Amino acid sequence: MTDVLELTVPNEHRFLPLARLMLGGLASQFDLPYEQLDDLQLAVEAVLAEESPAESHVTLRIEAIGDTVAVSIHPGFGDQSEGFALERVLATLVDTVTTVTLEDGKQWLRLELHLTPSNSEIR
Amino acid sequence: MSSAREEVSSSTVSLTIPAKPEFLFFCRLALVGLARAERIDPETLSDLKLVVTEACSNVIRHAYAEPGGRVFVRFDLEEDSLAVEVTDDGHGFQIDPSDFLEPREVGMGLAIIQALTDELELSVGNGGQGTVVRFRKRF
Repeated sequence: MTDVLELTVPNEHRFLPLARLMLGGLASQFDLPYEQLDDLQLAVEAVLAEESPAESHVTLRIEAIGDTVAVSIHPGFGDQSEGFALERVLATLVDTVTTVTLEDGKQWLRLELHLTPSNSEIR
Repeated sequence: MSSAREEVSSSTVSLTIPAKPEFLFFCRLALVGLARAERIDPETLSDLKLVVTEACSNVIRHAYAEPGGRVFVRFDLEEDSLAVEVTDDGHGFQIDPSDFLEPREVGMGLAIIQALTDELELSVGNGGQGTVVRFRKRF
């Protein structure tokens, strides 16, 4: 069974650093190189910076599957045209950007980052 | 899970972690983030880290007979306090009130939580499953 960590925070600027801290914690578990951590944090923050007025809270679902760290975010993109631009930015920071429907029936934006083999074992 | 966890206020932060010791520090990280958001003083933050660690450790050690369990932590940030609810959906554990008065090894966690917080409440989870530990620490 995959270990999943889920964080839900108010969609307010002052709470968003919590996401950065969680990703930092995950990076320390995996000995993730600083550059990869920085890319992942930047990608998540870019998504969180998008306006999503319909939702009062943002949820991050973080999981490690083999040599991949996946961060699913709900809500994902807001406006579709902005979402397209954001997706192009994200593609430079993480390996895979997809929109998935999880078991809760909601659409999540999923970011995947592949780790190097020596860094993929949780301590 | 319980409806209480689904009712979120504007300053509610929820964290779900696997019931494994190596994930405990994410709860402490969440508190650090909350302390930055609300300027919680270092001494209060230190107390909160200890009590949240104790409450979550109880779940990890006692709540689940099988692997795969989860720890649900909910932080409600209010003007003058932080309310924390730690929940599991395991088989629960027996709470002996005397643990608070004469703490033994097993009851030390609850005694520590009571000593360092302003309110403590223990209950059985929704549907009689699991345990809910709620406490509040004033700033």
